[in-house]
Amino acid sequence: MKHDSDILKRIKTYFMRRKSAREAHNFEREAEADAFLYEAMEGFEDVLTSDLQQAMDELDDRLDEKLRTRNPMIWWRIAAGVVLVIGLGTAIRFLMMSESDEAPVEQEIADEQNYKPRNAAFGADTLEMIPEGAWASSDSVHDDIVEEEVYSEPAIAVVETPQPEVVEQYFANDDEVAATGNTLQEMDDVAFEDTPADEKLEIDAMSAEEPEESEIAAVESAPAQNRSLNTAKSAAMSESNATPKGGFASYNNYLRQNLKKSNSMPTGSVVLSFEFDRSGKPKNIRVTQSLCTACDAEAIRLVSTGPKWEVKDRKQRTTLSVRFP
Amino acid sequence: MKQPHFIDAVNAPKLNDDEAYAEFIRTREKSVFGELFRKHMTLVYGVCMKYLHEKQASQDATMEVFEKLLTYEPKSEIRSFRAFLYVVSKNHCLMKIRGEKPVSVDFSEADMESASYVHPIDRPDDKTVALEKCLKQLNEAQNACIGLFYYEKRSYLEISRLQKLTLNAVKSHIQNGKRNLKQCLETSK
Repeated sequence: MKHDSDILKRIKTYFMRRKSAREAHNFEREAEADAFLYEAMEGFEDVLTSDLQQAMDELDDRLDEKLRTRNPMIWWRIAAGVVLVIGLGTAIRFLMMSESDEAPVEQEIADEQNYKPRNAAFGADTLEMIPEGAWASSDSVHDDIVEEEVYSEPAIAVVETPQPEVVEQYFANDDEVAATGNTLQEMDDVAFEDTPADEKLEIDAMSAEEPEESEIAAVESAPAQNRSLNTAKSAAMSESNATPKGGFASYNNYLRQNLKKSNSMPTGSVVLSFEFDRSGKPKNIRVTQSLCTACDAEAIRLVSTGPKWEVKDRKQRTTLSVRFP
Repeated sequence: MKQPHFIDAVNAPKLNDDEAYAEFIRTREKSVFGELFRKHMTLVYGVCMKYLHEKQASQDATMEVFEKLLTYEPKSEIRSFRAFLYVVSKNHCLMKIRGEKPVSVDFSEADMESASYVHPIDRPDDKTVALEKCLKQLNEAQNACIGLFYYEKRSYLEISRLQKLTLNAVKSHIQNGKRNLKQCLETSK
């Protein structure tokens, strides 16, 4: 491309002596008072005007190239995303062919309620992710129960991956039958899920006194559900589906700094589960474990107005526990 | 009547350099900085040519300055982007000729000040008595060249013909004359 900045035109005109003596003087006066221009003019002293134009055209092209090239990582991420989508799509096809008669919707809701999140802190005050392990069964047709639990526990948080319910949700999404209309997914952005009072108490008691036990319960309950659902399902999902932009440490920091706790709020955790919109903002937030009405609202406020997430699969629900110290 | 928003946007005044740079720092929008840099790229390249003398090396250095500034986070407010760009470009080239590896954007407040320094004789309407007095103390050649340039508004080329000097000699007489004037003004204060 031809470079035609204002300053280049003026420099060229000056060097080509197209100016009157007075105009030349004015340009020289300007350069005398402007060290940047003065030194640049010194640099061009022995350069032919045509060479200068050519050099600037080349630089212009190089600049355009720099502005065009994007982070090569983005292309790798897109490629990885495409592979993941194709993989999931194939898995879902298999599932649909083998289990087209099953109605997964009720099961999903049941799972949601059975699910007991753990509430132990991983050494962090406010944030913890509830791991449920990741299951990868290698074959999608054979129904031997090859369940490998890939369970890792980083310092602050663990992103749980394939929840059994996720597979079900894919069904629901794939054939948008009328039955899906009554899933919670179809409800408004934020839906509170009413837990019976006695159950709530139980969870609170567990989380307050025996966090380890509740952890075991949460982890154990998942494979059991998985089995009951028929295990021929294969969803080769990677270890963490969603991570906050900037990482968990900074997300945790965000929560800690922005959490508004009033004196009337009890100590404990609100467990939320949510999906993501295109931009990585949490949506369809559900309260999986309530602490108090104001606490729930505060937790939802924090998550919905907080940092966006890097998400592989937007529809896969991520569970997050917000701790009220 | 209030105009619709989109008309306002169309008629929005073009950002000046400092506003554009602040906009870039806020949004980190590559294209905003790209266009700002393009506007001054000729001068960056000129400064590189002055110190590195060679076309290829100067072009490379120009692009290096661009890339450095693209990722640079200003620690303090940049009051004049143009002066800042000048200092960064110059320092980058100086480090290159010294054989040092120019790693970071480095500049000091002193650099910035000297970059935006304007000699009293270059300031409009600032021909004070002290300046006139100091002019008389210059040697004949410097006095003549400065007189013709600043008071009779002659171009370098005209002065070189009138004084039977080479163009470079005219320029160096003006430069040296200005340096002497500055010293004279500072001591007479």
